[in-house]
Amino acid sequence: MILDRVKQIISNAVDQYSLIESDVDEYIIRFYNGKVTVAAVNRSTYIQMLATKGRKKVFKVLTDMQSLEKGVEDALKTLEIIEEGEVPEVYPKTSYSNMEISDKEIAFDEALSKVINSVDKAYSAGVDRIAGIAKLYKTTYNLLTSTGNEKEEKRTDYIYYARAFKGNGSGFGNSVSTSIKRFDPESASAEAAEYAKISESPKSIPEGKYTVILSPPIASAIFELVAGMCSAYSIDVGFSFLKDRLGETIAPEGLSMTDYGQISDGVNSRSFDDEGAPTGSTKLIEKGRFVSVIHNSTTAKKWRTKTTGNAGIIDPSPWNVIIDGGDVDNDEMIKEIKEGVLITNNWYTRFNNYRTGEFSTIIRDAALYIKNGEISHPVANIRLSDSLPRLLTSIKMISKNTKWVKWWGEVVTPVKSPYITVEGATLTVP
Amino acid sequence: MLAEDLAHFAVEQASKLGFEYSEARVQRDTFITVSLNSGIPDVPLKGEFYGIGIRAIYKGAMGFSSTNVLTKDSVTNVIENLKRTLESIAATKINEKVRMSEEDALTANWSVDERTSFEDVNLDWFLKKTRELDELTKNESKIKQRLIRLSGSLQLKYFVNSEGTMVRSRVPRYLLTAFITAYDASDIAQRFIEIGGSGGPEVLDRLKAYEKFNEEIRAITNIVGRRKSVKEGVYDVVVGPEVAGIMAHESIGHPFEADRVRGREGAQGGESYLREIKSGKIGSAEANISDDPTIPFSYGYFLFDEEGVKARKKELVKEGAVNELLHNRETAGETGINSNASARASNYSVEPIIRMSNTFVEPGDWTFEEIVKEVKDGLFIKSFMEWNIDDRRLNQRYVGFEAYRISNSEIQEPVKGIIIETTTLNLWSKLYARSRELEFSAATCGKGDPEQGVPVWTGGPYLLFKGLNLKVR
Repeated sequence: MILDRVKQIISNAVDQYSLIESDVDEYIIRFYNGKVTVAAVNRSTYIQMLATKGRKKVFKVLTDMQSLEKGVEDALKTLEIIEEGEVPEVYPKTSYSNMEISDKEIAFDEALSKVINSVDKAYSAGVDRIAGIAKLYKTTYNLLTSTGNEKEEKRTDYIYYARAFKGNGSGFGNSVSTSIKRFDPESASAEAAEYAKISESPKSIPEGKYTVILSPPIASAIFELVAGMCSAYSIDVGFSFLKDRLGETIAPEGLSMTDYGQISDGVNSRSFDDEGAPTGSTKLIEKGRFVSVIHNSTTAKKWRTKTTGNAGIIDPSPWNVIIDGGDVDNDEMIKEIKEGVLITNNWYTRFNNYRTGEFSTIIRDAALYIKNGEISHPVANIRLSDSLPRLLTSIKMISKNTKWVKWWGEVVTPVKSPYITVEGATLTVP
Repeated sequence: MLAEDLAHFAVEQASKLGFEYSEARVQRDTFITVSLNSGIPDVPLKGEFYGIGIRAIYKGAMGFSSTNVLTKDSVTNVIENLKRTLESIAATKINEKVRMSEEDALTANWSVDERTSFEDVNLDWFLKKTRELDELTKNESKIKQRLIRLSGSLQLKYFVNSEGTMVRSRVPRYLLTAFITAYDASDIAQRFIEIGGSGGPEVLDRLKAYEKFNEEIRAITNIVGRRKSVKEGVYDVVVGPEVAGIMAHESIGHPFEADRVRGREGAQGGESYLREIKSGKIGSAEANISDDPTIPFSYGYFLFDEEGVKARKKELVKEGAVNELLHNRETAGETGINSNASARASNYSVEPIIRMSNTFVEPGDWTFEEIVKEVKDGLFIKSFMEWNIDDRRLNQRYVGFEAYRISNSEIQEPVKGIIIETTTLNLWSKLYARSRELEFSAATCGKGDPEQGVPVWTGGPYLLFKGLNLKVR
């Protein structure tokens, strides 16, 4: 056991420690213009080490397994010279959930076959070209803490996303799962191809305020930002519009958002956090009210509360976020709109001010103009320029169906989101 | 010391297993980060990413493999695994056939000068310097939240390929970042500050990091609560080097990456307007934009790229016209030219891809004063906060942070929420004048999946755009 080698060195030298070993097998299949451009096979073992002594603390990532002892001793030397302050608390002796949410091994051949089929299907559907990636992971985590906690956990995760292009249009599709059984690149590519074809010849629209339907990819991107801003550290540092708003209504009653440490198809699942605290579920927004801030032990102490099992040694962060489905079908949402835009994806969100929540984001892939309850034509070159607090309070409808989203660049924390209708969104054009 | 022998072993093993081409890069990235959150130290972060990355071609298909278990058995294992994976993909008959450009084999050792070596800088120094910076902010009553962070890193690499090239390098880097929130009863202002370069810790003095940080603090406290609104409309606009730099990086640098032009980043960062613009005309004759990794002490500094090709300056846009793209050996091979050494990898575990280094608008022959004098009624946008650009790199937005009205050729009161939202061709066609100064900002450029953040500089002189349509928030 690698962790035992670390424990031998530090157990008598520090007051507290939390050690997490991650052994990761990663397979990547990346393609564009319908051809595989690179296949990657990566194998890594690394240790995250949190150690405290008295009122001193250090966190180190160790990857040099051949000189592991040297790396640990270097961290101990740091503990001698660092200035005193608040220290994180390693979680007391506890037990962890043994939720079975993933496979035992990566089904590489089956996944490859699904990916190849997904590419073929997109071309059969008549797109000009398709680009995308499949990433398969098998991860074994081992936890060992000074408080006597030990846990081994194995995960498989499958992530696929693709973009299909047709004329001046494009479409996006995404599949994420913790099991090969539910990993569905073919449906994702079919969706990408469908949207690419619909958006082949987009037209300009005037800048202004519109009622918009945000599909799960862009809704997930928005909700991921909101969930991240529920972090106590984000609030304390200024990266959040939620400062001093705990307990307030920030969205309509239909909106509820929960963070899950472990959940089926949540591809960022773990039963323990970086301080050894068990992960659970934390309701962040309940019927429109901002009800919980997420914490590690350091922020919990500052806020005089308990950790929520979201460490991040410095910044507590959400694991897997789910927004509850609503009570309408997607078609009904479109029918309810006299004039508006259905937005299927976004990218490149940047804030002008995190405290006020003012941001803009590029609308990418198919955006479809809605007139008198029907899709009219695709729209080109728009940007959503809004503020998070305004957007949340302007949600008018929430779809029944929800979908997991995680993809490069925009949705890093997995989010399962419905479609949402938002009134009065500002769309700008260059 | 790096496990250099393993790099040679990996290339030998790949050759024995029938790979047509292979390269191996043993790389160790060591880092230290200290941050003060409104004066209170966060947990200091230390770490290293140490391992071997092997890129190889089998039956025409490109593969990449990596491990941080640095034993011969482990390296053999990942190469064999890569071969099996490439065989599975070759059987599907949809693998791309890679053609690498022909490049001379070479041997090189290069490093960045450092007066104090990275190994001799301990955590105490980071804390002391961060405290000194925090001291500059804590008595400012309008500054309510402050996160100040100082990072140091050392990148050691040893590269070999099956054609006989060997390159050894050592690059230390230092980066000061801060996120400042200032407000009064009427206004909230937030600002990211990033100053960094390559070298020993003295590079921060060379870059005047502390003076620049102090100037930023003075500017934030000066403008918050005093910023006036302006009307939307057409203005002559002067932008500072920071804004010139982000414009060059986003609207010229990225779309000039040849892999994007070919579509390889189609599902991630996107493609490029160069797929459609056949005229090669990007802007006015004043539009001259380059990328140069060889600028001493720059944050994006390198002398040989991750494919062992000697680095050089690339003049991307000359007098408003497309001059040269950023290439690696793969895109250069496809095009039938030589690589211009633009391949970079952020750590051992990722493939080298085409990246910028230090991208900037070339300076001109005006003085800043002459440029301001040229503007009767306009705006000066010195720095920005919000920005974004679409995936073809045409539709872009830059929202001013520190910005002022110019009336009768004089800089006047600070203004709030001015937005340049335009297309690449419109922007660069409105460029009228460039000043003599050339200043850079540090940034971490993102690209690829797995995501690879690499250090870059963006920069330029003061620029004057005539007749830009501005919006306001």
